[in-house]
Amino acid sequence: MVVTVITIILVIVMSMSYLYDYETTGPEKKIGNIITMFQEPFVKASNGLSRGISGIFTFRRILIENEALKEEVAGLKKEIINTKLNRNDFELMKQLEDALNYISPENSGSHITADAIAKDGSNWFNTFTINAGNNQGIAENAVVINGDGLVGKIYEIGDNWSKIVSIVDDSNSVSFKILRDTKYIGIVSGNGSGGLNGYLLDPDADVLVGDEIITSGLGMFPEGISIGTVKEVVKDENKLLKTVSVEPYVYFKNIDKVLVINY
Amino acid sequence: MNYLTVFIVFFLNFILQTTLFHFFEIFGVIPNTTLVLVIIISFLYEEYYGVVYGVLFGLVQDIFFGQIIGVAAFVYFTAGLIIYEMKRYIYKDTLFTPAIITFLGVTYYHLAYWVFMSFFNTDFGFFYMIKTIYLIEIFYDMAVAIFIYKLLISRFHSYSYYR
Repeated sequence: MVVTVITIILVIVMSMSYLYDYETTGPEKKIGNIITMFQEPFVKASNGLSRGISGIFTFRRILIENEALKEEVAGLKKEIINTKLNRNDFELMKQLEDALNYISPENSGSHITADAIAKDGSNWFNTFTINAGNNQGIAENAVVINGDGLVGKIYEIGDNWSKIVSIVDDSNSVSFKILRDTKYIGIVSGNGSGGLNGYLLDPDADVLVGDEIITSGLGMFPEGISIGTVKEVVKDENKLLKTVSVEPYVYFKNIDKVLVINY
Repeated sequence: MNYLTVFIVFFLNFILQTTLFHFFEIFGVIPNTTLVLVIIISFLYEEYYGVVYGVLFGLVQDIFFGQIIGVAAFVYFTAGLIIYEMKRYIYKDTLFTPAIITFLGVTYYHLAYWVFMSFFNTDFGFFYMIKTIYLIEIFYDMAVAIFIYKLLISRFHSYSYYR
C-alpha cells in the first residue's frame, strides 16, 4: 500500500519536473541551501590540501613551466603594444558608430566568477553546482564558460547555488561558426556519448578535420566562445547535409572555476 | 542503529560523495556510495532504513544534479525494496554476498536509469553508458560494498552478542 503511494508520488514528481522545465520550487531551494552550506567548506579545504600536496611533488615541473611562462610573457608584452595601437584605431571607429547611431549587437553582460562545489556522484551526467545564485545576481539561462571554452548553461538557481548542465548533456543546440572562415555556420548538440554532433547549414561549406569552432552569437550563447575542434566530417548525400562531430575543449570531469555571463 | 544514525550516515555520505570522492576517480568514474549504502543497509537491517533514505537522498541527488526530479529516487526505492525482499533467501555470513547483491543492484540501477532517461527524451547512448560508466563502476562499487559490509557486520555481531 505504502509502496504504491510512494511510487505514484514519484511518478507524478517526475512528470511534473519533465513538463515544467527550469523552475526551481521553494522546497528545492531550501534543501539546496542547507546542503551547499555543508559542501562548500569541505570542497574548499580539500582543494586547498590537494593543491598543497601536489605542489610539493611537482615543483620541478613547475620550475620548467615557470621558464616557459616567462618567455611567453615576453612575447605577450610585444603583442600588447600592437593591440594598443590597434585599439586607438578601434576607438575612432567606435566614435563613428555613436555618431551614426548604430546599435552594437555586443551585449555588455555582467560577469560573475564562481567555484564548482559539488559534482554528480552517479557518474551519468556532467552536472555540477556552483557557489553563486540569486543573491550573486545570476540570471536564468546564463552562459557558463571556463578557461578552455564553453561549459554549459545555468539550469536551476537557488539562493547561493545554481545547477549547471554541460553542453554535452544538454539536449538544446549550440549554433557555431568556423573560426578559420566565419561565414560558415552550423548547429551542434550533445550526442549522448560525451561529444558533440551537428551539421553545417551550407552543404558545400569548406570544413576540415581540426578546424576550431566558436559560438556564432545566434541563439542563446554570446558570440566568440570557443567550443572545440572538428573531429570528423561526413557529407550525407541523401540529406544534402554536411555533418560534423566535434570534440569539446573543456574536460567536463574536472571543472574548478567558472565564469558566468548573464546574457 | 536508529533512523537518526542512518540519516547522519547518508547525509555525510552525500556530502563526501559529491565533494571529496572526486579525488578518487578511476577513468572519471567514482563509486556510487549512496547506491551501495541503500543496497547493504536494506540487506542487513530489519527496518526500512535503506528504502526510506534511498527515496530521500535520491530526491536530493535529483535536485542537485538531475534534469528530471524523481528518477534516482524511484530507482533507489525499487532497488532497496527488491534487495529487502530478497534477503531472506540469501546466506549472510560470507563476503561473496555483498559482492553479489551489489552486482545485482548496480546492474538494475543502470538499466532502470537508462530506461527512464530514454523515456524522458534524453538520448544517452546505451553502449557508451555500459562502456564508460557501468563496467568501471561495478567493480569499484563491489569493492566499496565489501568494505562497508565488513564494517557493518562486525558492529552487527558485537551488538547482538551483548544483548
